[in-house]
Amino acid sequence: MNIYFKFLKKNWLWGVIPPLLVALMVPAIGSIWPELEKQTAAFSELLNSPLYQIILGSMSGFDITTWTGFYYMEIFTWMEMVILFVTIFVPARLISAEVDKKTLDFILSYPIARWRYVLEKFSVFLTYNFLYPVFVLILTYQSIISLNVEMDLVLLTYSLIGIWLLMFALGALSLLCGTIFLEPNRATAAAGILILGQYILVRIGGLTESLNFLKSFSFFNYLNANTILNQQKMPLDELLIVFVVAILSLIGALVIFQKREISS
Amino acid sequence: MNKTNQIVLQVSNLTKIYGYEYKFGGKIIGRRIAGASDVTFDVKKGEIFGFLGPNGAGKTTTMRSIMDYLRIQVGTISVLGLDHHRNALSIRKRLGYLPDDFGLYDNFSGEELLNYTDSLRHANKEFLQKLKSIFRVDLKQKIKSLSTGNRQQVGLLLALASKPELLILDEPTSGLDPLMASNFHKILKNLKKEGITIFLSSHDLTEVQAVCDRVAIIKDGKIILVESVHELRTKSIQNVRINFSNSATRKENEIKKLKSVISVEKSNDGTLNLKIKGDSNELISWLSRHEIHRLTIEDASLEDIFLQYYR
Repeated sequence: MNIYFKFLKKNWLWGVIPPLLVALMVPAIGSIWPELEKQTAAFSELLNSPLYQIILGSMSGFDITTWTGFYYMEIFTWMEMVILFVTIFVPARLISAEVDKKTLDFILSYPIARWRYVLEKFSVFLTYNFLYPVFVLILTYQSIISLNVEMDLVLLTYSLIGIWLLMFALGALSLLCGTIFLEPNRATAAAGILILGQYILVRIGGLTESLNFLKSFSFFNYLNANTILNQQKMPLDELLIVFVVAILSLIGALVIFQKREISS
Repeated sequence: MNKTNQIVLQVSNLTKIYGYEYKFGGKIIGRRIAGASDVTFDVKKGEIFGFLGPNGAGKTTTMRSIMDYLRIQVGTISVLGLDHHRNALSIRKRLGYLPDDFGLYDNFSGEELLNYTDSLRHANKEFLQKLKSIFRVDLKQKIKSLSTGNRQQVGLLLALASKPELLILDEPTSGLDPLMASNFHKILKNLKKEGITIFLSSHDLTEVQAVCDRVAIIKDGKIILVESVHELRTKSIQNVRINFSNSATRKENEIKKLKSVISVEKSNDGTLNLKIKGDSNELISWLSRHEIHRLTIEDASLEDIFLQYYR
């Protein structure tokens, strides 16, 4: 675990600040809620327009006249943006950037299996991503106390775990791109096409009934906060799908990196 | 087996082809290039073995294949008696490697890097301390703020820190100033005395001549010579300088006819500069019949020998 702890320590600033910034949205949302609550009916009408429905995607399903609905729409819209950015740019470059900077040549001359090196570095990514649900949960708890509103924190925890698992799965796909291409720009482009493609699929799938089937090809359709809130439970079938694909992608990345050449 | 004859590194028929070729509609698509072709040599315990060749000759391909970074198509590589691919991790516990044109983590300091790598392969504290006093690079500075030469020194510290049984060094003195390079040569010679085996590639032929016991010369991916530096210099061309007591003009034509003489050049002061190869008795016998003012015979430098193979 030496590699894991070394990179965990070395990258703490980049690992802690983004989740903290996202979590700070929670008190910001809480601070505008008392004023906004009075106008939500009109605002809700506006969001019913087809244009906003497309833009918001699954987030349009929340009832924003309630604190829970408004909070979920705001925070999970932000989280979706973070997922897109983080999973495209970070795991794809975890290894490929090391090839580019030629740091890998040195480190692989030490007695550490290649697969283990990738796994430990990816674990650092997963650890810091786990701070998103943790920070959001803590600040949400603080906010609901100060606002004196009710909210089911168990369902919120499920939704946040769902987000983390989505980051795991998409991150593993992105890592797979990185180990296939071993060149940071190509790897990021491939991860971008794969992840943004899924994001677009779920948006297009939401346009009409006839295109609805497209959603099932997108990770963004699974472990959705809206589904969890409506069903009042964690959808275990979706959890299994996301988890299995995440593990398979990760194993794929590890096997490919273990077996492939490292050209200079 | 005699300890000195133990083979630490054995490369047999190593062939590495880059790229792919496909036949499509009668046309060949793609390109295959041989990075190394049928490369065979071995390095004995306690030996400093030099690997010579110009850029693109196949030195780095061979070294990266030994390190199991590249997958070879044909051949076998045995490192410390173990298969280089199947036993890669066991080998790396006993080996130090300095890659050519390597990168180090910019946001680490030299000290942090040494601590980090110590957790992966334990450093020999006493030896490391000695190395630190020789290299004198500021290990508290971040790698990004170090000069190329200082980064090279950190790289050498990392490769040598564990005092491994086998050192594989790709262009180890590249970027080092002459004083530091000379210090490094002393370190290599001391390590050799302790039975540590060193396999190094270099462009610097003076360096190879100064430290290596044997050399292999690689050209277009193929080994064209494996020889001890001493043998190579003895068997190869010699440089002869002759100052005759009187005019050398007529003698120049006579001397050119001798079998052992490869080339003759006359300098402005009348000195004849000869390159000879093989039996020198014929020349000595001829010289004995003439009045000589000054005569110098010296072995060719490794550079001369190297150029002989590459021209």
